[in-house]
Amino acid sequence: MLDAILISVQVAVVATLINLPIALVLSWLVVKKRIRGAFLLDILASLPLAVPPVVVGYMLLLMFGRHGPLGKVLEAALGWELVFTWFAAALAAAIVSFPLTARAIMVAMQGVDERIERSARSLGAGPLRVVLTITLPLAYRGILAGVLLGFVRAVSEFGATIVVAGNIPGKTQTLPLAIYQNVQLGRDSEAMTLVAISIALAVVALAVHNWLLARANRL
Amino acid sequence: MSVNPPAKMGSRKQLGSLFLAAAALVLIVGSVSCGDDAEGPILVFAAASLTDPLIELSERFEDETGIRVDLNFGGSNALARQIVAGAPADLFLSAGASPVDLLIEEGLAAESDVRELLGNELVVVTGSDAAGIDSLVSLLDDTVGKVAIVDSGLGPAGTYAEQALRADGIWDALLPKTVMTSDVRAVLSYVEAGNVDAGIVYRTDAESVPELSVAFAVPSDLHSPIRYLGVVPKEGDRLGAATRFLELLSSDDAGNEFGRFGFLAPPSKAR
Repeated sequence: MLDAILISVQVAVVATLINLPIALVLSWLVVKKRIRGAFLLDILASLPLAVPPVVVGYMLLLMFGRHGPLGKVLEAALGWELVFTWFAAALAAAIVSFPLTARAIMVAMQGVDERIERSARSLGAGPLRVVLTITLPLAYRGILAGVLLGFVRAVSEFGATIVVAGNIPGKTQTLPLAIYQNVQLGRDSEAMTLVAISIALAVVALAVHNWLLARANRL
Repeated sequence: MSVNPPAKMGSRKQLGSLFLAAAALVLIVGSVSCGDDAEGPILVFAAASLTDPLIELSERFEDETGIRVDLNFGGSNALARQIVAGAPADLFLSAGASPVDLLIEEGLAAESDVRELLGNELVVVTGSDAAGIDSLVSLLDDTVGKVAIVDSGLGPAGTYAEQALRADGIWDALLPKTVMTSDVRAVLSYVEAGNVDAGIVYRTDAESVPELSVAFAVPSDLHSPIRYLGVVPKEGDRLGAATRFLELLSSDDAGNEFGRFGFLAPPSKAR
């Protein structure tokens, strides 16, 4: 049971760490830079919401599996088999939770008044400095909300994970998979304990989120 | 939102410390589960119904050989499709023959490598009171309400149940009060909750729920043999170790262990 909790936290933290920089850059490109094809990027970012997670998992398995193009490249280059490892679970969780993180950050960046950013530019700040000193600090709450939303979604990820990472106790079995296995085996009380732990984890994440926001407001 | 310089300084520190905390957590947690030994474990894909005996037998194998076993449990059909899609299974333990047939069709396993490991039995389960239910025909009685079976399109348990009911000539008569479910677990919970009066499941599943009682065993000549098969997929890179584990699972010793959980000897060498 401790294994499942540790693996869940590990998977969700890594998924969040993968997503945050990508979501920040993508949101900036779509919302602030308004590059050509921003519309397509926007849709692409949200696509995982539109397809069942099992399909995401199956596509990952086809790409990274023994016969998949990326799987063959990884195997040849690094001798590393990605599928059915905890990192595959993290990748699956990252993709499935990405739209939630990215959308929240996009909304947060849209809320940053462009007149302030333009003023900074006119006073000689470069684009990077504007992002670091104006956009990101002002969008901070929305970014945190996106990170939290993505993290909680990553913790609860099931469909893609079981396909591409399997359900291996002590290795890839996260909390949702452990719950599923206990229900399958008729161990309802164990399943309920794990459900309670999952809820507690979400509550802790929410509490940390609120605490960080409160501190940010006080400073 | 107001612009206030101290707040933005604080925010940046916050983001930074969040990153640091997260990174530290990854390092701590990561070091817990990244200790792969040089030999590396074998990855076994196994039908979910084998969970308990397999955990014990894999521990025994690890003690005897020092080779670690990673067990991946799921529905046999889903596991077979994952192997076809490129999942790195070193050994596949399937409930029923059709998932193994899929691997053979795809050229991922050889017919001659397939080992028959275990058998199982269909039983009719009821709640605490099984009065009056002692044969398939008795399920038709007016005193018996609904009967749950697995949908034959969704699980082999349903296929066997349908074969038996047809062979007994009561399939059409029973159909109006039959509830189709997606898996054996659902049948058990319907019976346990009293939503149906009886259900047809494997003996091993029935024995996992102490609240239910087994009314009778469905005669095995009414359906095709229930078989658990083991096969080492050709593409595995641990063929030797996987074959050794399959040999242990086929031993009489292992048979006794499986027997403790209600499994039978395979139909080909029924005791």
